Parts: sequence; C-alpha cells; structure tokens
Amino acid sequence: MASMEVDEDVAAEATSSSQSVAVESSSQAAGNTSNFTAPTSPAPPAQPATGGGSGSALSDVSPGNSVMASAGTVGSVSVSLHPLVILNISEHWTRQRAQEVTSEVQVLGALIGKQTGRHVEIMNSFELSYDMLDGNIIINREYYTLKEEQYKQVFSDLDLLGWYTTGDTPGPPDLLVHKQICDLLDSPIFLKLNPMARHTDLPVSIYESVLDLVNGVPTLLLVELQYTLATEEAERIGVDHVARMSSHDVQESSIVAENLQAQYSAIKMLASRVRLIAEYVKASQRGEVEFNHEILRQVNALAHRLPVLNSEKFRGEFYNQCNDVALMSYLGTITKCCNTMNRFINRFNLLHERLAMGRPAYAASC
Amino acid sequence: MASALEHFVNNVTSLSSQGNYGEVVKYVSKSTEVLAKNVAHLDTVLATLEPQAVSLGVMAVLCVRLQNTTHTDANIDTLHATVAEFINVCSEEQIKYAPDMMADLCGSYADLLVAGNCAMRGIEVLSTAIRKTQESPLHLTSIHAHLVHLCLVSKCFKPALKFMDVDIMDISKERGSYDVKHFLLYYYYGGMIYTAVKNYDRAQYFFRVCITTPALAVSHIMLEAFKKYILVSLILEGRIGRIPKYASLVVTRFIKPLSQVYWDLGVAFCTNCPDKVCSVISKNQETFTRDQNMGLVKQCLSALYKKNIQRLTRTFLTLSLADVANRVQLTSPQEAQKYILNMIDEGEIHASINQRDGMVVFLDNPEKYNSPTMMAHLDKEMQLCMEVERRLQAMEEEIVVNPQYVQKVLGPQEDEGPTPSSAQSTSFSIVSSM
Repeated sequence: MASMEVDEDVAAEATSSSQSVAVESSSQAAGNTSNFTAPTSPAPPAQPATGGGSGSALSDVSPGNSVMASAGTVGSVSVSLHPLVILNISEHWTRQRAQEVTSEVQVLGALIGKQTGRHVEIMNSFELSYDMLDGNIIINREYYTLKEEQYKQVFSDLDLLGWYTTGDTPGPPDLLVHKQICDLLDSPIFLKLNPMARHTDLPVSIYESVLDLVNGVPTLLLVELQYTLATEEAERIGVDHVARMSSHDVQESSIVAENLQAQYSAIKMLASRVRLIAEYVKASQRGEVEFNHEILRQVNALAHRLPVLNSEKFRGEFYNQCNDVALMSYLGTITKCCNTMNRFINRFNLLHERLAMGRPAYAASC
Repeated sequence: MASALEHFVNNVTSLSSQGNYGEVVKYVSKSTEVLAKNVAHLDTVLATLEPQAVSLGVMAVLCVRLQNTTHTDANIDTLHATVAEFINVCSEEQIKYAPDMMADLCGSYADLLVAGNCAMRGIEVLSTAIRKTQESPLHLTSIHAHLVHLCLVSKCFKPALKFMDVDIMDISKERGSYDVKHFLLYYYYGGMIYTAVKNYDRAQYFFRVCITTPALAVSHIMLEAFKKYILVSLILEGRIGRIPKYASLVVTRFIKPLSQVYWDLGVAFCTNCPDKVCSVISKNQETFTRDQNMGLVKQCLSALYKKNIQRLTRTFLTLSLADVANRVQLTSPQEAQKYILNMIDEGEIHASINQRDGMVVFLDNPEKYNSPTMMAHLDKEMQLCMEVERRLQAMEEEIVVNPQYVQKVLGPQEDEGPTPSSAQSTSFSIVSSM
C-alpha cells in the first residue's frame, strides 16, 4: 500500500504521460515492494534492467519497469502474418533447445515481408546471430548485413520489417534489442512467441514501438498489435505437408499426400487396364485368341476418344508443361542421387578409414 | 623331354574330362616350367590338345609359346591363326577358372602383333576374348587395355568405341594379376581414341579418370595423360581443366611442374590473345613435337579463334566478316567465314551469314525445350540418374551388412538380441548422425 501511494505521488508530479502511469499503477498487483525505487529515480539505464528482473516476475504492469504502453494505445498499422514464419520460429527454437544443455533457450531472428501503406505483411523470417555482453544481447551487425545481401538476391521485393524472439511477456531486455533494430529500420515490428504457453490459442504476440515521455524521459514503449493470419492456398498446403511429415511417429499423412496417393492409385489402375486391352488386341492379332469383332469395335471406339484435343497450339503447350514437369523430376532425381552418394561415401569412409591407402582404383569409377 | 610333355597332355586331358577345372588350373600353373623347357615341341602339343574340351591346357601352352617367340612373319601367321581359333572355340566356363592366364595370353598376343605391324588382325580376336572373360558387360579387364592399344596402333577405332562407350562399374581382379598399369593404359589410350574421333567431352573424362587414380608415385602414363588433359580441356572449354580435389597429391606436387610448358600454354590461352599463344607454341615447339602432341596443340590454336568468335556473340548482334576477322585476328574475311560456317555446322554457334553484304547476324538459341525429342532426352537422362542411384544403393547395402562396419558403428556395444524397435531406432539415429 505504501508503495502505491508513493507511485501516485510521483505520478502526480510527472507530466503528460502521468495518466498512463496512473492507469498502470491502479491495475498493479499488490505487494511489490522493490518497485517503488524505480519511479523515484530518474531512470538511469541500469535501473530498468534491475527493476525489470523483478518486473518480469509479475505480469507486465510495474510502472517504469513496464515496457508496455497504456492499454488504450492503438497500433498504427495492421499486420498479417504468414504461418511459414511461425513454423520457422518454432523450428528454430526446437532446434536450439535440442542442441543446448540448458532448458532456458531464447532465440532471435529477423522478420521480412512487405509493407504497403498502413498494412504490414510478414512473409518470412531468418535467424540472427547475437553476442552476450554483460548479460545484454547485442546483435551481430556483420552477420545481419551478410544475410541481408543474400536474401535480397532471392526475395528481391521483401524488406526487413522487424524481429522476433521467444519467451513470455516482453520486458526491458527486449527493448534493448529493439533499440538496436531501430538503428536498421525506422519503426520495427516485434514478434514474441511463447513456446511454453499452456493455453490453446496461438501464443504469438506482435508489438510495435512508440516513443513516449515517461517521467520526462522519452522512452520506448511497446504497443500490442492485432494481427491476422494470411494464407494462400499453396502455402497452406505446403506448411501442412511439412508439419505432418516432420512428426514421423504419428502416422497421419498430409492432405496433399493423400490426394496424390489417390491419384497415383487411380492412374495405376488405368494403366493396368489399358495394358490388359493392349495384350488382348495383340493376342488376337497373333491368332491366340479368337477374333471377336464386337470387342475390337469397342476398343477402336475407345481409342478414338483420345486425344480429346489435338490442335497445334495444344501440342505446343502440352509439351511445354510436360517438359517442365520432366525437368523438375530430373532435378529431384539428381538431388536424391546426390543424397544417396553422400551417404554411401560417408559409410565407405567410415568403413575404410583406418585401412591403407593402396586400394587400386576404387574411387576412379565415380 | 617328350615324355614330360606326354605326361602333361595326359594329365590335363583326364582332369578336364572329369570336369575338375580347379585342379587343372593348379596343375597347369605348376607345369609352366616344363612347358618352357620344351618350347620347340609345343606346336605338336597344341595339335594334340583339343581347344574346346581342354581349354585350360591349351591356354597354358599358348601362353608359354607366345612368350618365347620372335616376331617373324611365319610365326605370327600361324600363331595368330591358332590364337584366333582358340579364342573363338574355347569354353567360357573353363576360362573363368584362370582369368589371369587369359590376360597373359592376350597380352603377349597383342605385343606380338604390334611388334609385327599387323595389329588390325587382333582386334576382332580380342573383342571376342573380352566378351568371353568379362563377368558382366560393366567389368574392366586388362584385355581392354590391350584391345584399345591395338585399335590405336591400327587406327581402327570403332570396335574399341563399342567397349569404351559403356561406363565401367567394376574391375575384374583376375586372381591378383590385374595391374594398375592396365587401368591407366586403358583410360589413357581410350582418351586418345576419343580425341581422334573428336569426342572431346568423353576424352576429357577419360584423361581425368587417369590422373585422379590414387597414387603414391609418379607414373609416366599419368604424366602424359595430364598433358593431354590440359590440351583437351583447352579445346573443349577454353580454359585449363580443373584438377579435381580427389586427385592424389602426386599430381600437384610432381606432375604439374614436369609439364610446365603445357601449363604456360593454358595460361596464354586464357588471355584470349592468339599472338601470345603462337609465341608460346613456337618457343616450345620441340617439347610439343617430342611428346607427339603437336597436332593437339594446333587444334588448341584454332579452338582459341573459335572461342574468340563465340565471345563476339555476347557483344554484337550483327557484324561484318571483315570486322570479325579483325577482332579475332584472323588473316582474312574468307577465313572468318570458313570458321563461322564450320561452327554453325557443328552447332557451336547460332548465326546466319548474309552473302551479299558480308554480314553475320548472331541469333539466339532457337531451342525452346518444348518438343517431344527434348522430353525423350530428359527421360533418358533421368533413367541414367536412377540407374546410378540404384547402383549406389546396392553398394551401400553391401557396406551396411559388412560385419566390420557394423562393429565400427555400434562401437563397444554388446549386440545380444536387441528388440527390433530398438535396433531400428539405433540404426535410425546412426543413419541420421551419418
């Protein structure tokens, strides 16, 4: 109670942002004694960090330690998020978690996409490398520039929109990183994914930053944004397929795989029946089977139903598409072959690694 | 004496009729000395033994006979006839017991023919011999090397091409008598044959196989192959061929300095300046002639002109013949026209020449890749790829069931009847960790 009174006094002395502080203090949970030191001091940089340590133990609203702007602030842009990004982030986190011994894992990365006017579309993401300096996260600038060059080559029309990280609610460490991103971009979007969330909604929150005056000091605060999930058909199918394939202990297959499986069985059946008819005709030509005119007339009629379309233009387009598909499967075959070769060479090396070098001409036939 | 030979003949006939070919081979290898001592009588022995029933015996006798013979014409005729007849009628299953003897036989036979300047006779014979001794059409035997040698000497390439166009997958060990020299010679001579028929792509591949043979010492064959590799790469790609990473260190450390002249030629070639190349050629003319590579070197020079003309297509759309001649430093527009016509014929360039005003128009590649022929081509390439993958998988399975490999992978683990699921999971984790 005492702390609340102190807060209110301080709030009365503060200038225009005092209202936001008051709102926060009124909703504050009771019994946080260490908090009152923070608003009385003029917020040197170390203080929010120490205050933030305790502040994050509670839910976000400790005045001065909080990084959230007032609940009434409205975001300036509308955001649509592609599910690919969520998949990327969760994969990044899972991978990191599988590699590290500690269970507390935080990953960091950049978000790229398109921005038109007041609408932001986050389409893809990639990882960022960072260093820990005095417990603060510092983004590796060179790595970012390298990655930027590379993704500009592939996705030439996507720009840097913001950054993501994992964890619970945002705190001052996030603001620190956000400030660094602000050097690269004017007003970045900040996405936070909570991999430990227990509720069934999507544990993704998106924020943008606003510059507010807190106790006369312009500080960066975060405003939560509403977002929608943007999907196009192809992306949804692809992501669904990948998501199901990656959990191999569950035997369900993705929708597209089922669809393709059905088509494959249908074509296989068609091929076997056509082969049967061809065998019959050949056999009656050879004289092994009695010449049945009626059946042969029917086969003739069937054969004349195809091709349905036989113009010059159709043939051109048809072969165009055929060759495209053939090229793609050729590429797939080569990749698969490279994979097999790689595995084989690894095993070969493992088997023969301590044997003498005098093996005649094994490798030459490659 | 004669009795020893009679003894030999009787033994061999009786053992062969019993079908005990392993024994025959052992006996025959023991009796080579006996045969060698009685060289003069070997012809009569050959007359008594029947080639089809007693193939192994006949083979042994022939081997010794060929090794101890001089190449007078009379000898060659009779021997050639005997060997040809033998190889035509010998029984394959008997020969499979002694592939090294067969290889020896063919080797001495080939040497004899080459020394007697009638190499062409042996081509058909050796082709049959290869087909009979090969375990599968994809096996390489030492007879291949001899065949290719004969074809090269007699300048009659088609029979060899039939064998060389098939990619080798395995080498027949010939009970230990297969030597790396045969391997190197096959690929070196093969590369030369491909160069002669102007299939530079395959020639480069053959030379590359030759120089990437694992080696600890320098082989002259490899050295020559390296020189030709550089020259063929210049003709084919217009730059010095990349020496693969898996070539042994011997190549970079010793072979490259020994063939510095060729390397200089390659460097001069890459500057695209015909004058420099000409100067390098004239400076080192004796080296080139001594290595008998002068013909290839001259082809390199014309390849340089072609390369320069191709570079023009990237800058110009149309050009007059005189300009082409100037830029490429040819002597006259007529020569430029000749070059361009040749290149259009061989499909190296897409252009059309307007005779009236002597202008060349460079066209784009008209291939739209949407024809059935292109699809058939793609299909064929895919089949090749899948075939390679099947073979790799077969080879991989061989390794995976090798007990040594299993031991190395599972480490000191005791494998006393693991349950199938755990074995599967360990193998899965092993596979994923590979």
